[in-house]
Amino acid sequence: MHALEESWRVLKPGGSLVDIRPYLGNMRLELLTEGQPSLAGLVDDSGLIPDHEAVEHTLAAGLERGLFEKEDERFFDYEYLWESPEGLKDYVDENWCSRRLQKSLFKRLKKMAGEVEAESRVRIRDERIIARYKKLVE
Amino acid sequence: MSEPIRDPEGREARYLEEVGQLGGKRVLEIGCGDGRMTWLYGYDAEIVAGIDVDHYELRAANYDRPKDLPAPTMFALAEAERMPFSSANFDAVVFAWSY
Repeated sequence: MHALEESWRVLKPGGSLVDIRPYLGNMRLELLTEGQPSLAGLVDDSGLIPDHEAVEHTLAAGLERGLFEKEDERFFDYEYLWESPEGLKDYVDENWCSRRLQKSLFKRLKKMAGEVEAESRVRIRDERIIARYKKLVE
Repeated sequence: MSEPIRDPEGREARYLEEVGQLGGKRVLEIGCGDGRMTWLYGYDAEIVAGIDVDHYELRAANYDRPKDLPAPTMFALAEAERMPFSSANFDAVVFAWSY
């Protein structure tokens, strides 16, 4: 809650708070072959649920206290592209802490990539939420 | 390490513009990291301030700052709970959650 209160403090009257973040539960791993996606499966992002719930709780508390009111909210797809399954694996090993690329899922992706003759790429597509809140006078 | 191509259709920038409405504004970005998102809206903002708790990321942001960015831009090591800015200083605050 403190971060939200601090944001309220540094904002001018009527200023905007913009919240942008991943929305959980629909992180699709796909093989793109000649532009056509084939779903390998869903990446396990359940490790992010505690952070996600904390943000939701903080924002809800800010609305309840009359610090902000919601003006707009939308969802959009966000994509990451790699040239190969190995490229994805390297990136995941280096960067992911709370998401998990299941071994069985990666194995399925490798098998799919091995079965296509045309050039293919790897795509992860997740959902993002963006919302704008207006600062209210307390 | 294999860096991916991110958001090839530029949806994030489009939604930041449409929903965030940051053009011409004094913007504070909380959790700016290496500035990846900052560069998406920074060309239209009046000024941009970014804070993060990771000084390696902030160093990258300063290093990668586009030379043609018109808005005055500064990055600072700071926590969202105690920000080194005076009250009523910004038109918009962007929470760039990176979990």
